[in-house]
Amino acid sequence: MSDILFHEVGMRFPGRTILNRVHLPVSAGELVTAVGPSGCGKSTLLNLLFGALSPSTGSVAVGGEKVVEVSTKVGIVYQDYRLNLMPHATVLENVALGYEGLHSNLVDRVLLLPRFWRIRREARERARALLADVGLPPDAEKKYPSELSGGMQQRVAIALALITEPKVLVMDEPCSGLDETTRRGIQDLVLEKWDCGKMTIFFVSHDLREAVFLGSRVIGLSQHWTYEDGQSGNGALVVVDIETPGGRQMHDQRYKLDSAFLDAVELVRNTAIEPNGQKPIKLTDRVITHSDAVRVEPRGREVSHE
Amino acid sequence: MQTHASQTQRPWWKRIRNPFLHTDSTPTRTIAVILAIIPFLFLVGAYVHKAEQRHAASIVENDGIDKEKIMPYPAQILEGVKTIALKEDVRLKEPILKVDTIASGKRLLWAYAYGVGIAVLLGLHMGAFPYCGAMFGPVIRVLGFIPPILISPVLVIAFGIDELPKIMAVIIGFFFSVTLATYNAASEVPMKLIQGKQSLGLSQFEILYRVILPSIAPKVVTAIRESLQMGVACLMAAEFLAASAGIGYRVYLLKRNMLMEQIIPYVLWVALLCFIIDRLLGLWISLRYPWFNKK
Repeated sequence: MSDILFHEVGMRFPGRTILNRVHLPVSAGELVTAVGPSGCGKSTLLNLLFGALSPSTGSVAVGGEKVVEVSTKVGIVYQDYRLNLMPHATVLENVALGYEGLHSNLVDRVLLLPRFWRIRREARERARALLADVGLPPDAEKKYPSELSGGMQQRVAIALALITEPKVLVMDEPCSGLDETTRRGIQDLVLEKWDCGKMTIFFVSHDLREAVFLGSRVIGLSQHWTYEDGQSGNGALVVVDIETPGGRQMHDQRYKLDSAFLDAVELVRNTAIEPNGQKPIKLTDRVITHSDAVRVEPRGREVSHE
Repeated sequence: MQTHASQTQRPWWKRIRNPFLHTDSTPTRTIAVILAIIPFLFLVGAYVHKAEQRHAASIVENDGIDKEKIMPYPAQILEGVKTIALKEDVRLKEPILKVDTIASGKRLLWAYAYGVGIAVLLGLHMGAFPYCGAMFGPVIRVLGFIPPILISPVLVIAFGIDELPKIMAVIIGFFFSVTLATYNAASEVPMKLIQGKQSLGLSQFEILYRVILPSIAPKVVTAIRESLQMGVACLMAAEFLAASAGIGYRVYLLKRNMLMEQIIPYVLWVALLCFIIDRLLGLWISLRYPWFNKK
């Protein structure tokens, strides 16, 4: 059974269709990266999975249960630290809050029962360990998020998302706006956590190279779509679903991908593809498959070892 | 070359950098203090100059007798300071300045103690819960447009001349602005941050009091700080109407006898007290919320 299932999901806002009949199963333990141009619906897909949005049509399920609201099953890391971390709390307090929220109930916390203090102690110990685990120096725990660099803020956000041990972690362009070295550090951390955590990760990126590097599978989204009956629109549709060698295998070959492979990815995003048994439809420069995500075999899959 | 030549030929007044008209010019601390003192000196100078003119005109008009009362000389004001600081209240046997300051201060304190909590709670719930915002937002906005000073006579008629109308007048003076500022601040807390905390298992109650309220606290204190001016104005207006002690009441009495040399020290005293409270609240914000306003 799929760990995540987008079943015929459509998302419409007044005057605009963002997603249309997206069908996307994701197996447990996959690291799925979603790429596509701005406004194509990557973040909408992520918010639907997180439970922050409800689909106009279809359904989204995590672990076989329909997503109807935000839950502890899905952790999230946003690009902007102000959306991940509370500005008034120190790094340690921010991360510990996640553990406290999950392990103590409201009565404990309001009445300050002994259980609450025990959990608070545990939460701090666990938060400290997790912060060290994501590579934060010990003196950072007393700082406020605004006093940290962008990379450190993202490390704290990842620690915060991991403290509740979610089944699924969704990440909304967490490396955007970071310099190259910091970006690599965060990417390594994501892969490391994915390797040891056996988590399913849904990672949104606007950078194709990053998506291909990280993902065990890449989902491409397009802004234009057309159906076999000739209807077309500006909504987005999953147009390509590529299994990449990605992640662990490519860990040591950072960005040294065979250019043919990248060309292939671009090719399937922009021109004709041959989906499994389905008839592709070509309109202008885009190939639109039917509603299902399509698994294709990109050319030149080998990784260069230059 | 031509450009260089034209630059060297610019007249000297165009080559002087005027720091007052440059967005990237920041004064040092010493210069900032000096700059701050200049307008005060100018005001004092202008006052003394005008006072001298009025006294001279009064002497001419009244056959050598100085009957000018509206703008007393600084020396007369100093005498007035001594009077209000030393003259004892008939009833309490204490200096009137102390009696009036304590009376007005207590009213202000009680009003803020009663009103701020309700204003903040209401604004917080309105900002955090859209249903509450939809219900109370419009009525708070409409009521906030009523000039609070106009309410004072109504309060005196409704609640008599006891302490209640004066405390109510202060509450009305700051309540709507503090409520709306809290409402706006709470509405601005990013929904994504709130949803992120929901995914950590926090309840709505905890999100309200552990996430939203602490993150907007400095904005709330700033709103309280800014509301002080209106709160004090309303208190003075209420004390003008009906009181037996208080700075507003005393100024009203002194006005009847045209004792400007005592009124001016009272007015300056109120300004000084408000300035001190404002600075203390500013200090509180910077010490208690060091993360606030950091990029």
